[in-house]
Amino acid sequence: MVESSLIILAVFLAIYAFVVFLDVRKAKKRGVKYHFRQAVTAFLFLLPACVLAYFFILLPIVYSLGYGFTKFPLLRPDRIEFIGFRNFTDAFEEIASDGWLAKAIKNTAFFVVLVVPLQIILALALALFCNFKAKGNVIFKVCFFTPVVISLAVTAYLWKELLSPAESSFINSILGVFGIPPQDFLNNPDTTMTAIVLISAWQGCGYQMLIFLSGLSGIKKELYEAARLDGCNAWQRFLRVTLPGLRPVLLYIVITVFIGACRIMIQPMLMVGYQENSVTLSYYMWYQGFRGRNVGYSAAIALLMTIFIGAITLIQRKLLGGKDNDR
Amino acid sequence: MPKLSLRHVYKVYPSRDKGPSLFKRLFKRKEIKAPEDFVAVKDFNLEVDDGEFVVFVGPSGCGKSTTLRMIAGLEDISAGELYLDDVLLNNVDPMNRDMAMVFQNYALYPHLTAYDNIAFALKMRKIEDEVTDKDGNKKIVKRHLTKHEIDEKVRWAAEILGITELFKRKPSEMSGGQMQRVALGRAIVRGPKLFLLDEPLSNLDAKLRTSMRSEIVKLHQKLKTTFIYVTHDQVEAMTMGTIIVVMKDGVIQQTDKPTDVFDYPNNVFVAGFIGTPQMNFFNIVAKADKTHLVAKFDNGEELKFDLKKMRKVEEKYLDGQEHKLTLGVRAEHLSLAEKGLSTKLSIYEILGSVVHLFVHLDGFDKDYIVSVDDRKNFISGQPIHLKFDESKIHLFDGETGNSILSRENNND
Ligand SMILES: Nc1ncnc2c1ncn2[C@@H]1O[C@H](COP(=O)(O)OP(=O)(O)O)[C@@H](O)[C@H]1O
Ligand SMILES: [Mg+2]
Repeated sequence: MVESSLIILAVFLAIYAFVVFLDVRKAKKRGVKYHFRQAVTAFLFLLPACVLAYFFILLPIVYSLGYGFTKFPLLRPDRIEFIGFRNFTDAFEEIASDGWLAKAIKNTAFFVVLVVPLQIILALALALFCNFKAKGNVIFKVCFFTPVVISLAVTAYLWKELLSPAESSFINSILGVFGIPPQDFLNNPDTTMTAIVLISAWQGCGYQMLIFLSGLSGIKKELYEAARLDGCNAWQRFLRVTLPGLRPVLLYIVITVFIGACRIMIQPMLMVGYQENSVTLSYYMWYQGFRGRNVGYSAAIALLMTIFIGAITLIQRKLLGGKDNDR
Repeated sequence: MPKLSLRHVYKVYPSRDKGPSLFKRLFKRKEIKAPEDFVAVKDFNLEVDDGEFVVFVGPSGCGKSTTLRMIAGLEDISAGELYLDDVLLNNVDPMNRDMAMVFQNYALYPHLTAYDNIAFALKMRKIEDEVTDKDGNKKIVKRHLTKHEIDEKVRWAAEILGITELFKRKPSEMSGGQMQRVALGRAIVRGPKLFLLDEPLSNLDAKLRTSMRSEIVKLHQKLKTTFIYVTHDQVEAMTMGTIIVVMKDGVIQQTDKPTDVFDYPNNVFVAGFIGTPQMNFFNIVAKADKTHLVAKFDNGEELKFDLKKMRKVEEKYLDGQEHKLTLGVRAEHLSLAEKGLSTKLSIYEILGSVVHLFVHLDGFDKDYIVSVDDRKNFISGQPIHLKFDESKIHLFDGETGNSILSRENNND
């Protein structure tokens, strides 16, 4: 353990030195002189951040990368053994045989595809609503933002109660008014993920609303006035002034909501449990590592997930950033 | 028929003062006063003929922009009527008013290129075409402009303003002057009935401002459309306008040709606001009969003015009684003489072809400016005797500040 962490440190330092070396060479070509004392000073300023990054970012990443290629029973770290790509082939087999991993991918994909647009549109709608300069609309802002501050666990149990199959539960008693028999939305395989999508969007959208609000306040009001004189109605002004003005924050929001959505776990875990209709990628990964005590396999899944999310994020940047993501 | 008319237009903003704090309301009941509404524009009356270049000028906060924005429809009209071509516009949406506006900070769409900014309004609007269908019936069809038609118009506007080479640039890649040109292009491209410009040059540096000034005037001569131009700069107003509307605290002080505003100011405010250097104002006590007006200055000196040479004085001041008046005279209408109002030189400034002498009455601080064109050596503190050009002096009532001279000269 100690040796390996020292090796990682050495590799890290070597890469760092190489980057600095390239930098110095580039600077020399442009005729900028590097002074040794300045470089040392700069390094000393960076050192605290580097130490933290080493322990809390670099080491965990490298170790979990490494565990992906081992068989690592959770309770017997002494029995760790290198098994090459076995974990990965196991994972692909699990997908091919329509096992739990395939279910997890399906559920997660369903969740992401629905929750990202829903949550963003909801957040934008709330932001537009709150953006009116009216007395007391700060109350609305607070209301919409409150779910963000409340712990996921609390809201999960809250919604579990509200959605419970009992006839007297909040939702079912409302349905009862319309003569609809009591439903078990969370455990019915047809509605589990949909319910989780709605609850997640409700819980999360307040945060994006705030970001949209700050984006909206960055759009000059003269642009709206110019658009009115140019012959735009309210809808055209939204399309031609508001949306382009929100583009920079939109990119940020799409990426963060997407990444957050890919990691969905707490809600299905606390509201439904480990079921075929509720398992998600993160939940599967956690379950394999801590219940199945197979940390190596779990790490391999994490690695695959990271690569996948990274790739999609890059594509989103390309698509949404367009030619002018300079602003 | 006037092109544009504003009749008794008011703008009232609800008070921004939220009133006394909760604490005061609870514990100091006596002091509560309801917050008063703020009247930004008061009884504004204006008739503008087609093709005029109207300039609203006044110190900042006097309600120029508010008036312009009411004309554009960006601000509700609290009371009064607004007509364009005899159509009441009070409740017409800005998108249907057929006016174009140029903003102080340009307000170009930041995500569009210069070309698209100029073409924007053309893409939004529909035009009406008369077509004859198979049965020979004439019908009016609304349609968008074709790409080709838009391109033609955009190029026409860009050529007038010399911005064709900026077409592909985004606002962030243009200088202030270039952005202002594009903003002008955006305004002229669709041939609106009325151009509204709100301090369009105040974000530019002094040199560019002067050249853009003449360019806008040329543009007006070329297009022959009605312009309404807002500025706080009296030089811009004097050089550009065919009609100047001088405003103060939401009230029109004078509406006139530039030369008339300069020669015949209605009151002390207009006289002091228009013209550089600022007009000199002397407090005098005047006593006038049929032929002469005797003015007693602050330092006790008396000067006799020949009424025949002056503009006609309102009858009620010619009663031989003493009246407190304000005597206004521009720096260039004062000259040095052997005899005259005795003053002392404070400092002097040589501005090339003219010299400004700052003089004061003995024992008083207030400086008056005299403009002379001979550059002989002056010495601070030296006595100076001032002669007034009687045909060019202005007299205002000491209390109301209103002019008491008519525009005609006394010829009898
Ligand atoms: N939205 C508003 N609410 C309240 N008062 C306003 C508002 N807009 C302008 N005012 C006030 O109206 C007066 C005239 O403003 P404005 O027309 O912008 O002056 P300017 O002549 O400098 O263009 C100012 O005193 C300003 O504070
Ligand atoms: Mg203004």
